Amino acid sequence: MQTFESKPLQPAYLKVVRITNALISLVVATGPAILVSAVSSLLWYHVLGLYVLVFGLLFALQFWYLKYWYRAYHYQLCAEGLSISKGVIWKQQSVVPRNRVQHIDITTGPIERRYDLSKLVVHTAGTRNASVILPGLLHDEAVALRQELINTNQTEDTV
Amino acid sequence: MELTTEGYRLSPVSPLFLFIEAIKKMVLPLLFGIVGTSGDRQDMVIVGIAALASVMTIVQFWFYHYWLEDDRLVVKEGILFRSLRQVPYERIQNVNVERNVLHKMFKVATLQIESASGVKPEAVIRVIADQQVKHIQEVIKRRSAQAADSKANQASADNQEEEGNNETATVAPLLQMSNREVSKFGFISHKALVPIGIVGSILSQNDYYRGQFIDFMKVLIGGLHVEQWGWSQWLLYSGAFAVLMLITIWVSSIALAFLKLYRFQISRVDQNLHAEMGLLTKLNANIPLKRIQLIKIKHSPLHRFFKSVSIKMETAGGVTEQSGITMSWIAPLIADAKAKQLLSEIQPEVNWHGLTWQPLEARAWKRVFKRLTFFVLLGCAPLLYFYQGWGLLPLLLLPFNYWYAKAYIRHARYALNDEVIGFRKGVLFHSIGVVKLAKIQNISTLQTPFDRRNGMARLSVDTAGSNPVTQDINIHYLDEEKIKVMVSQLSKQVSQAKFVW
Repeated sequence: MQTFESKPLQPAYLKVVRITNALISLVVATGPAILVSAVSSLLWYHVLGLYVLVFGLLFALQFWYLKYWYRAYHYQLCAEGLSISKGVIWKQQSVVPRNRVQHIDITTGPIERRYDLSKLVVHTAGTRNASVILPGLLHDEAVALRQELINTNQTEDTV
Repeated sequence: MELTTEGYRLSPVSPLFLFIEAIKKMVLPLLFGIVGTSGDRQDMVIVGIAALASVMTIVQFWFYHYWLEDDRLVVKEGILFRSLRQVPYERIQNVNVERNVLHKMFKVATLQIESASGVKPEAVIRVIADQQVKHIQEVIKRRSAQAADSKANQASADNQEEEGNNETATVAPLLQMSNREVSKFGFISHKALVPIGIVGSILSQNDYYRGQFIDFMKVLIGGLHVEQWGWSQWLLYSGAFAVLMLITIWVSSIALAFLKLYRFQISRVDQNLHAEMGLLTKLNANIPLKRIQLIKIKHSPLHRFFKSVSIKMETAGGVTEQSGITMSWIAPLIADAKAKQLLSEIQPEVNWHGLTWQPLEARAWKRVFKRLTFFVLLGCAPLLYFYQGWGLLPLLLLPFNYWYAKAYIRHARYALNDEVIGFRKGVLFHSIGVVKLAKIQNISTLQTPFDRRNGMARLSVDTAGSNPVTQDINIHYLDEEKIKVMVSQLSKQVSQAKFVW
């Protein structure tokens, strides 16, 4: 049975979430711009300036916050199971015992694919925390971890 | 797919029951909505379409077949969208049988089979003859027992437990409710409160019925001349009305309780719980003991008055009252003193008498108090703006907050040993949730900024089929060091215990 100590996510994943959040910020920033242009009679380049300002603010904020978010994200595989801890303000930790794993998905988004990253989704039979997501793994790492979790599971589980 | 046995069809009287069910599901809600609001002609068209659709569902009778294979139940249904469903016997969680007056007339029953998956039951066989029900129950019981036996040689904690208690049928019921207890239950549950409220509000929205009601009251009591009432008359009449409503609610709640729970009886047959209940509609439920995921004990001020508690269970699979027949009672009402005895008979491997309940951190009452006070102040802010000095009136709640915070922390308790984890919460309405460690799916902890400032954390465990809203095991206001120890202990024990559905 394979185990490893607490590990951080792949550094490239920080880039991935920053890009994703920047794209979301692009969309969110249109909100205030549309609102202001609807209620006041500002010139178009003023509105554009406002848009750029709001976007810049959002981008800087998420850029700064995600550094801490990334630092707080750790995962660990022990003899009992997979343990994931995360969260800057609300700190969460969840443990999925090996023998409770029902099935495991690996998903890869378009930006993640550029960096050869994948996301591991571990499903259990529960309801509230039925699926535990572990992002930011190298694709090969994710495949190996899935194999490891499934292998150890099969030896003891008969259901 | 090869089928080795001969398929069965539904009973010939089935279309009648399918039709009634379809009417209940499609036409009645529509009709109800229309009577409640406008009552225009064009709405009848919608009802007509729904009625036609109900008639169509009868056709499904011709296309419904099922087989009892060696290791599984197979159900084939559908005309355009065909489905073939295979349920291994050992995966079947609950078997519920429903019989109302009509069923009894034709000597048939509705059979519902649940597995651990999804919201909908695996199969609803509506309806088949009584002997056939018995036959299916027999087959499921025998075959799933065989499947369990063949796996028994694999060493595991759960299987050893089962073998330990493999004595044959204890026929005497674990619990039987007398009529008196059923009425007590109805009184405590106030089940009729919500339906009466709904009917009342719908009728008061409809001008025609409101007029009728007022006319009826005038005939009954005569002219009331409300405009001439003094305060004593107001007090008298509103008091009388309140008492009348309370009595109505109680009487109808007791009637509802009788309909559902008349002659409630639960017994243990081998490794199964067997429950029977109902006055007009008889429900017969069969739940394998090892399928019980969580046990919930409820306790309200009225329960306290009768010195009793209610005990429910959760099984995997989320069939709700809308999607099928549900049975989650272990004991709708049982004397407080006997509750532990009953639970020990159902789960003998758990030491129910020796469960040690530990308190939360005593200092946490300040957090509860601060949180409540924050909400009071939040409510004050707009009131201060509109009513100046009078806006401070909600501050009178502070002593209550103080009492509540103290009481909440004093009453909340958790228990953790080698077998189970439990949590008890609530001040006036207690609820206790207890989960066997082998049934835990996932252990998680959470630390909010407030937790961190006070060096605390919270721990919750997830089970199959658990209610995500009520979160029965969510232990908060506990020292973070204790939580850490508990998590490592729990994950070790859970990973050693095999999960059996």
